Amino acid sequence: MDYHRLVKDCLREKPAAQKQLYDFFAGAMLGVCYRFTKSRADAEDILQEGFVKVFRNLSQYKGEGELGGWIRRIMVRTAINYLKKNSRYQNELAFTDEHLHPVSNDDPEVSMNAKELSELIRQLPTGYQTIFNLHAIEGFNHVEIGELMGIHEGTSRSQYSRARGLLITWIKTESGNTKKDIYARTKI
Amino acid sequence: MEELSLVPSEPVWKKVEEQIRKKRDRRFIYLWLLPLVLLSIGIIWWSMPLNETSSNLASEKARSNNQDFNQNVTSDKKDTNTNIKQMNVETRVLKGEQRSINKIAPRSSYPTVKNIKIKNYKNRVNSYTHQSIKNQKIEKLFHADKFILSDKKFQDDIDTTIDVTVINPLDQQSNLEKIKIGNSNQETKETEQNVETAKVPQQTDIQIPFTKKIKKLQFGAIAQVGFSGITSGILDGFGQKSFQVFADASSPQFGTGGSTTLPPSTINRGISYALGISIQKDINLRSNISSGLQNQYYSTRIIVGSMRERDTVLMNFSSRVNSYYRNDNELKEYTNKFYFITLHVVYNYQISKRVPISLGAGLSISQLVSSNALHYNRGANIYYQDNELLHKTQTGLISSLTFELLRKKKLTLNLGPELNYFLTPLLKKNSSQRQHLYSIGLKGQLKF
Repeated sequence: MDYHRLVKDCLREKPAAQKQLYDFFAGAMLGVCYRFTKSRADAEDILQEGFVKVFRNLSQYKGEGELGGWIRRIMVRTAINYLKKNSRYQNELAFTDEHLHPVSNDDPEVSMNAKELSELIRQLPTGYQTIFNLHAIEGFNHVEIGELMGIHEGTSRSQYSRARGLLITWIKTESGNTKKDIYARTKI
Repeated sequence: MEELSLVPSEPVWKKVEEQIRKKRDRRFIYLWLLPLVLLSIGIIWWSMPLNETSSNLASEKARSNNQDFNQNVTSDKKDTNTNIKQMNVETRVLKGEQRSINKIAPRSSYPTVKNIKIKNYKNRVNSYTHQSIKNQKIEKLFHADKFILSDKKFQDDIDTTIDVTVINPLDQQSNLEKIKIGNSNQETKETEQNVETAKVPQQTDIQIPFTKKIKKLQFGAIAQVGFSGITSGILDGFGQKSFQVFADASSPQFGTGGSTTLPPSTINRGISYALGISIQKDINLRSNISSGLQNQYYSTRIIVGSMRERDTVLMNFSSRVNSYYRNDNELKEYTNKFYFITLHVVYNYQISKRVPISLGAGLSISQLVSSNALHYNRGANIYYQDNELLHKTQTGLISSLTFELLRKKKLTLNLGPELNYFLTPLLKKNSSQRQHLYSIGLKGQLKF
């Protein structure tokens, strides 16, 4: 796909180009949003808000780097803002020392597909879920996460470790169960 | 790890589209607003009298001119052939209307008046009518704020006098002096006498006549071209809207996105035009009322699928239609056309006396003559035509801004943007959103 031309057409506000851009990235971006939230409706709200930002700020995309990466960063930031604003998530994002627990660094020797893992991540407490997503999947370092979330870098590290530990425990537990059980806990 | 990908539901894109269109609509309004604001500022500036600074400058100029004048008058006492370089004068026409002017009057031989050129700086006078001063006709050539008093008749009857009052800016109380210009033999004395002795107590209010005449009735031809569309309300603006196509409200699933069928098409703007005749009556110099009969064409564009003759029984659809369009992937553009006969009454008000720009507001009543507009039925997932679903009589609002481009004897050409908005909803039955037709375009009116 010729992203350069697509972006140009979107900047000229051609509806067809805007729809094409949306169709091309919406699926993957909904996946990103989905991992940050507890419900699909919230994920779609973030996706909608994120795409509005994308179209309004498309002129700032200079063509350096992947367009998908640029859109993804917008989605992630939109998701973080959404979690901060939304009362359902606000309390769970309040990081306190009680969350800081040492965890094992053992790697689980299980293979999971993206959807199964996403489902497990979504079952984490919102704070863990967000930081795990940002660090393990989106590739933010802890300093960046600290700035983004307004928390200390050390808190981010601890939250990540705790999230990782929880996931490992769950994966080990789930390894005996069927995939159906995993899906049964949350509906997409 | 592979990327998790999910399919978003249809309303997400609708909402995104709605929001990004909103921004464009706002920008569209701003684009109109800016020239209108600039135009308004220009009109106000044009209409206002000269400000204090200009007056001061004029006074300064008058002061220096007056000094020149005094010197010249002194010279005239010795030599009547001395030229008066410049004078700021206030002419008072004894018989006829009064007007305020500043005069720069080079004169080759005083007192034999060859010609008097009078420049009008202070007041921008649009036009003048012929005046008669004691059997003397003054021909006025209105050109670039300047008119010339022809001198031929003065020579024919040299005894005729013109009273000229001279502004002396140095003396506010008695700043008018009277000069009598007449027979060359008498003039030296008279000039001397009048310049020195004649005092005019106070300058009276001077009004400039506006020559536009009130016309009883004026006929005209109207032509308008622009674009038309659908809006949910006049406050929602007139940008590109993502309305679903005229849906049959009886269809139970209207407006809900489906996973297996394509959603109904959005309605996009189309071309509009109007042709008609008008009759206008002036109420006073600045306002008039006009009425007219127009043949109006409105259109909107939608995307439909393949066309089918009705040869099979359709599920969930009982109306009788000869043909219909499927909502399938064979996408093609379809133009909904609406032909109206419209009777309108518009009140026009000229913003400024001197600037021929008018604001208009009025009402219209329109009768739908024909239409090929399609409606969507979700149950059968088809587009079909049924004019019974449309309100055939529509009342509307008209708003316009008119510039008078040309005025020649009996012909007048007006041009300007006009908005027509139908107050009556387009559909008889309630749908998810009220839909009103509107058109925005450039309207030309030739009056004769």
